[in-house]
Amino acid sequence: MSAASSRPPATLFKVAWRYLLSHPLQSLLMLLGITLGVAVAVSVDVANASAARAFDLSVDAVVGRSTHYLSAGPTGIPEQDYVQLRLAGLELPMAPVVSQLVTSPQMGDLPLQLLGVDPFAEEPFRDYLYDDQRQIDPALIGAFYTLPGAVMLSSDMAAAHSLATGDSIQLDVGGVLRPAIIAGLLTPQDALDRRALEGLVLADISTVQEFSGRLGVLERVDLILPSGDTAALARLQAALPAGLDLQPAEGRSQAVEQMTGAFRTNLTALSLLGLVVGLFLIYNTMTFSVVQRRQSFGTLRALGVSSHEVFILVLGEAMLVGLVGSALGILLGVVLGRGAVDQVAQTINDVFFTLTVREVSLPASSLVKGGLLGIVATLLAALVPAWEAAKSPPRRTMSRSQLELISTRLLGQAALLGALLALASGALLASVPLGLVGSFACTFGVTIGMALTTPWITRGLMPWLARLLGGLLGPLGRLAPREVSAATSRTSPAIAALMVAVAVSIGASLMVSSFRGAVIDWLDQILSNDVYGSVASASLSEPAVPINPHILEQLETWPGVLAVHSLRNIEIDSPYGPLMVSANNNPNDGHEQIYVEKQGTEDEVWAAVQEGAVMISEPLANRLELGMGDAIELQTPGGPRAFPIAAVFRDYTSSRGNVTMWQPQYQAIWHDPSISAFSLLLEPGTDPEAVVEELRQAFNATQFLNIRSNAGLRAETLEVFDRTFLISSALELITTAVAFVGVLSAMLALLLEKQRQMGVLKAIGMSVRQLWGLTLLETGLMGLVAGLLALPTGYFVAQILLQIINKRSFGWALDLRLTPQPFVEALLIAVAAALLAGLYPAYRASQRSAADAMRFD
Amino acid sequence: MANKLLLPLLVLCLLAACAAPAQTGAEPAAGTPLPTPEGFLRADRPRSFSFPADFGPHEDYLTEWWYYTGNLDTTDGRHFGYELTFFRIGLQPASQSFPRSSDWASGQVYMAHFAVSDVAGQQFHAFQRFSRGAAGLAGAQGQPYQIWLEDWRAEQTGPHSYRLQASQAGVQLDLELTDVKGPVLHGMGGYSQKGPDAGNASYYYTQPRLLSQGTIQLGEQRFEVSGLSWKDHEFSTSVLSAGQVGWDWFSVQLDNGYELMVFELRREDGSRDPYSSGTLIHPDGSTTHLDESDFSVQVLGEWRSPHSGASYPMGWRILAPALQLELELQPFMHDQEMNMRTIYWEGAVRISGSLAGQPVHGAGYVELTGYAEAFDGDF
Repeated sequence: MSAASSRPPATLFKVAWRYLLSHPLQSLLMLLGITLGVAVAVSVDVANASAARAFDLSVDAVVGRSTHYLSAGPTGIPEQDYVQLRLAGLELPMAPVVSQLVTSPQMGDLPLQLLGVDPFAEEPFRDYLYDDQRQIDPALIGAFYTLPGAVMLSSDMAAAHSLATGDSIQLDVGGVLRPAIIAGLLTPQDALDRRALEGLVLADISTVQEFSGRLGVLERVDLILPSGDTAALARLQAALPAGLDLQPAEGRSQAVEQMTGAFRTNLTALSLLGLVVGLFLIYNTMTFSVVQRRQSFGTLRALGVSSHEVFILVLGEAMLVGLVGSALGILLGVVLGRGAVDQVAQTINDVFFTLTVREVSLPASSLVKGGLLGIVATLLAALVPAWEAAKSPPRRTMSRSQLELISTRLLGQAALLGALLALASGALLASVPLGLVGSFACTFGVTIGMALTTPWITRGLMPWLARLLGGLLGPLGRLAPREVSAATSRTSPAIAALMVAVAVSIGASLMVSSFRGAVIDWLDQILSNDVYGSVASASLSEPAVPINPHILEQLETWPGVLAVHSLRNIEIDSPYGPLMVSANNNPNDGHEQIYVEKQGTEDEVWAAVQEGAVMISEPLANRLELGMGDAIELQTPGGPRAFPIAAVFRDYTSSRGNVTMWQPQYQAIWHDPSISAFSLLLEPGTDPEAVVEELRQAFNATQFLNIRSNAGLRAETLEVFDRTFLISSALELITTAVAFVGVLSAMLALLLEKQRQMGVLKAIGMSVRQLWGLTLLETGLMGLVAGLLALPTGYFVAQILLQIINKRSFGWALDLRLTPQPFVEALLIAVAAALLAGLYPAYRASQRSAADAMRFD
Repeated sequence: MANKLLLPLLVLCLLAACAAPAQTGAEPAAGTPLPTPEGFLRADRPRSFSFPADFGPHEDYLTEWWYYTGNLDTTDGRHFGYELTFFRIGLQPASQSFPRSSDWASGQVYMAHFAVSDVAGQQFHAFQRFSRGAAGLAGAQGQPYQIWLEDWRAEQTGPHSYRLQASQAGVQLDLELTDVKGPVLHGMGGYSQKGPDAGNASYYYTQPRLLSQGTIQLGEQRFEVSGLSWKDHEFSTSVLSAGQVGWDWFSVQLDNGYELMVFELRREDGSRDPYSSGTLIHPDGSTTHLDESDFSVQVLGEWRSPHSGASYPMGWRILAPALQLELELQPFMHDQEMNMRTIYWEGAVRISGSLAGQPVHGAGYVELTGYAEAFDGDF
């Protein structure tokens, strides 16, 4: 090591710092790359963490400290069964619960959990009603027990909606507006409590029973069974009235947690992609700054600075930029994350589970992860440029051709490595069943592998393009491809980055369009009636409230109605956790399904269902690994009972899956005559929209129902579908933006190196117009190559997303529907992005005088 | 009586005026209708009692309690005291109630206390429970008489017999009671004045001699016991007067067939309230009313609770010169403090002395309230 090693590193950092300050545009580009990469990763992480936390809190708010619960199926627990248990002297903490999802026009119409409890039984379970001495305000007991519609909500919620104690509000309970009065405010004890209380409306059991019309019935009884106390368990079992079923509390949340987990993994994978593309950008900008200063590095070396120190200098710069960029990225990520949380929460509400907690939580881990990711990624990306700078021989700048020679040697090896990586990842995906994370890792492998072949393919392609464009455009057409090819070490990372971004965008949009196509086909098949109605529910994922029986009676004789079919949607406990059961009485249902698997003809399947078999939906079959010849066990009032599976059918209503059975069978077993939805077949010539309007006007005062025509329901379903994929589209857009910045910075680096050459071109008579043309042609070519290479890569990504990842996360295996549109779009985006990125470099190139430019060397 | 002025204090806190201090996690509703004494009937004149109907609840009045205490022995002389008390608090007079369709809606709250004093083991076991008086979880009725809060209950089993049952944490009481004297009315035919204003009074009767037989169980140990129980039943809407801070209440069951009940209301300044009074019950069930001037109570000692830190008088001499009555009461054990939401001392005492020149012995119960700091009496 030279004597220079004793030089304080602070001096070198000063050099780095001055450089960054005096080149604001480059510093900005580097910052942008890191900031965007980190921001995407942080925002998705924040959104995911918030969703996970919201889920836990939504569950905790309701489950509390219970270890078990008693349930009795769809009809609920007769309240006298609970009283009987209370009077049996079991001395176990027991709390009766009736809950209901509601909305309130005074509280933004968002889903709220109305939780009906008995304040005297609650203390061991949930803290909200008690002070820190675990005592309850007697005034509240008075209001809760005597005052109809008395509710409590958190002071935060009240403040957010300008409500105060004593105010009257309305609660929409299953389509009926009920008057409620705020009898008191719950003051959260701590931050955790505050978040758990968000979205919770607390009331006495009596009030919730009256609001929901379920008099005499409890939804469940929460229990705390000391773990290992078999005597207590035995006493409970012995005292348990018939029809009551003891379940562990965590079973309720586990199934849902697993499924939302898959969804969140998908988002994480997408966010990492943003970072990968950001890496290319950092690499590009660092390279750019090194290239620009090759001369000054040479000078530094001549002054006695060791190559080791130059290496450290460049890494130091990267470190500085990495720190600032990561910090900015975290900030931006948090801002983006706030928007993303709503999206993620909405999807989870639509597809999985109703989150009543909506607050964004900012876990420190997300921020630390984002920061580390940014700094480590920056340093990694800066390694090659730093090495390149350290190689600068004293005084003399290294010649371009030398670097490109090295690159040429490397290109073949990189391409080979990339091809192997892509092949190995693809083979692994195809042959071994991998988890979701493994599948994504392999998808990355394929994408990165393809990216590694980009430079080699680019260089191979360019002579061809030179010949082609030369014929078309003359010397300029020949020059541009050669320029791209000659500067492979600068152009290929940008091309690769753009390729990855575009490929993923092709993959994702192919997946979404295929999925959408499948949903449309499926809707065509199953929506065979003219009008559909159900209770307006606070959420699509929640079991529906029954429809007022008077409404159903009137429908039977409604003018223009040919037939009324009905459906009961209900959650039934099973060894696999609560399952959604749909019991319908449409005799044609057997012919209105798309079957994945079935035993015999459609008639035979339906005959079997009418005799007590069930059909299960594809996601459920995948999730529980059940199929033809199996039976599915459900908890009935007479104890567990196995139902043979007659068919597996396609269903996109719920990724949790559902069990379909014949309504008369269901009613005979569960003694539940309620109906949650209906469909109407109209007489030919009747206008469905007119009937929908009539029905709305007739029934809205009794119970607000979602009544829609066939076309309306179809549109609404697709709306939910599109909403689900909105966040994916947003992430794709950001990724493409990052790639765009990559091309921009690559071109700037390239132009800087070519200043002398530009000067020569100008000196020999190239016009400004031709210079513009040359530059844009070069960037256009880069975009074109990236776009072309993205086509096959995108196709593979789409296949992987559809066949493997979709199936793993949602339970739906979908066929790829090839349409030219995503490919054409992607190609256009790639070229347009590249051309756009070439504008500024072209402007710079055209501004310099020939003499100035030539002096550069 | 009356012991139990504590309940009115509890009730006061159900009123908006006394809404618990700000330390509670939940803030009460300012505009919410809460029970007010106005809607309830007041004990402001004598009324006629009719049994068994009057064994049941009187929901037109704000508060009510059924108070069982007793002294029991095993055949080999092991002594136990017990207390099983049910309180009813009206949240809303029937006239002001809203129409409700849920069975859980309730205008009544029930509270119960259960305690066993194990003198030989020097253990005091005490428990409390709360419930709404609805849906069958807790309630009371007169014909047939029964009162219960979950599985703690008192119920009529025959024309003059009752069964008491309570159990918690391995402590179990199961007694058959036989009423050999019938109900006795205190004050003016059951109208017991507690203060100068009309309505500062309660309706109060006692079943002073209930032969008791049954079992007490402590964990794995089971004891066959017998002895005497005492039942108070009292209902009112507004008992307390300003300046009354607590009371000392004494029930005495003597081996010559006499019983005595006296209570002393204590004023803020430490003096004895003039509305203190008592009743001597003769073996034939007839009564002699004692005014404040007819009796006095001397305190013989003091005990400081290690739980609450409160100092209680401990050991008393009751003197009623006109009746030639002089009794000394000593607790079977000191630590019989009910450390519940409200802190008070309710304990079994042994009694000796003389009545009309004859030596007498017996046992009884004493209740001391208002001694603990924490006696600010919310729920």
